[in-house]
Amino acid sequence: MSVRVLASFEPTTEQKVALGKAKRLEWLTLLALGSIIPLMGWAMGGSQSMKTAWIEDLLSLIPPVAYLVSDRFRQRKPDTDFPFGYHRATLIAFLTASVALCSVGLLTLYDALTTLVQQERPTLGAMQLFGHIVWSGWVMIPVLAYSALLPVILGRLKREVAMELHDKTLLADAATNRADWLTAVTASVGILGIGIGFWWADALAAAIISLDIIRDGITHLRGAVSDLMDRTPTEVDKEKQWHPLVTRIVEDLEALEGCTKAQVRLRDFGLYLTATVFLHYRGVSSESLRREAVGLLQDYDPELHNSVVVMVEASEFT
Amino acid sequence: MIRVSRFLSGFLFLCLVFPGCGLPRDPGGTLREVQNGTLRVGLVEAPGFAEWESGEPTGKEVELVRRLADSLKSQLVFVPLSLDQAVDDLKNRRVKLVIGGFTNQTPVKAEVGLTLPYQREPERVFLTPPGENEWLLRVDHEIKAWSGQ
Repeated sequence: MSVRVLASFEPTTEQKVALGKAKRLEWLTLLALGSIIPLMGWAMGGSQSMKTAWIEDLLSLIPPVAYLVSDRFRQRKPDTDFPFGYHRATLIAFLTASVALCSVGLLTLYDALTTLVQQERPTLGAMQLFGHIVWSGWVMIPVLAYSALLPVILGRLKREVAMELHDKTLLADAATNRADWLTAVTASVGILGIGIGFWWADALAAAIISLDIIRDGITHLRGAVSDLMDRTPTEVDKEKQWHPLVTRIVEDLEALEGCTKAQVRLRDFGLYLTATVFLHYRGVSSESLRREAVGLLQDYDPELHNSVVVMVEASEFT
Repeated sequence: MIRVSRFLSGFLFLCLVFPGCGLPRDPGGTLREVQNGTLRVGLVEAPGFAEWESGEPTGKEVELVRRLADSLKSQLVFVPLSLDQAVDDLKNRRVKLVIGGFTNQTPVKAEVGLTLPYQREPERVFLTPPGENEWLLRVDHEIKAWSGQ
């Protein structure tokens, strides 16, 4: 067989537990949204800010669906067609999600701004509940509170799992969930503003929520792009800081007898990192040094897996 | 977790407190103007519901509006308008109410306020100035009182 496929990776027990948790949380998210979305649709009436919040909730269906659908895909073992494996399938979904979020966010922002410029006044009328006439604002606000409650809780739980799994896209999903409280408060303030008589309050709130949607899109984008571009692995939630293994591997390898320089290229495969090491050596047998280096790298398993060592004979000029 | 429950209880507290605060209010002060003042009603011709007969407004909706004006102690003035003029006049609050056999699926429903239906099958409504929510609520209460009789 001329195509050498990447050795498949078996997740550790902890990773399997975390993966199971992540799946359950994403299913719960879908259930939660299944109750929130119809409720918001019923209550939103003439409020543009609430409609924008509703749209944001509709869009937040995409990440869980992307995660659950790609989950099957991701576990597939590498084959000759895809020798590097399938783990990047999710990133494509998140990239699409971020494009959707950014474009819809821009659309709703445009809508909100034109409403303000044209000085359109939103009519928030009455609703009939159990035979009583109630101002629709008093229905909208509790519904908004409910719409934030579950996503915020789920978002926090998802963040913990995402940190454990070193999964940027799950982290992005958690972040957007947690930000739902801001949307609910903004829309509520907008509606109360209408109640007080500030006709522009609702459209202004809608504009702010649109900015939040755009920000959600960018969050997802950053999570996906650095992986798709094979960026040097960073801490999961701190983009500026490289993963500690980057420097540790070089230090450990350069400590080996005969190694003059070690250069490393690390790649993030989600559940593990993989290294391409260029080992510059002089004065020792290349094969014995290589074996030592491979043994050293294996000590990092399961954090580091599937690494490749390239021996470079050093001359006086390197 | 504490932060979430605190924020939510704050929310619910607001929901309980605010209904007593006289909200919603009219940004254009319509209810204040109409109560004990003048109620200008735009009339869009709709046979059976609202029409002009020998210079006088007649129709089912005209009668209903007279009851509304009574309850508000306002002086009633009817203004003949086309649909376009009516929507415009509502937006500028030159009239405070428009009648004309409208259903709640009227093509102009996105541009103006709609009251609760005063009749079922089909659901017929009156039109109000967009954004004047206090006024709209007041008219809705009146309409509800009619169906209670």
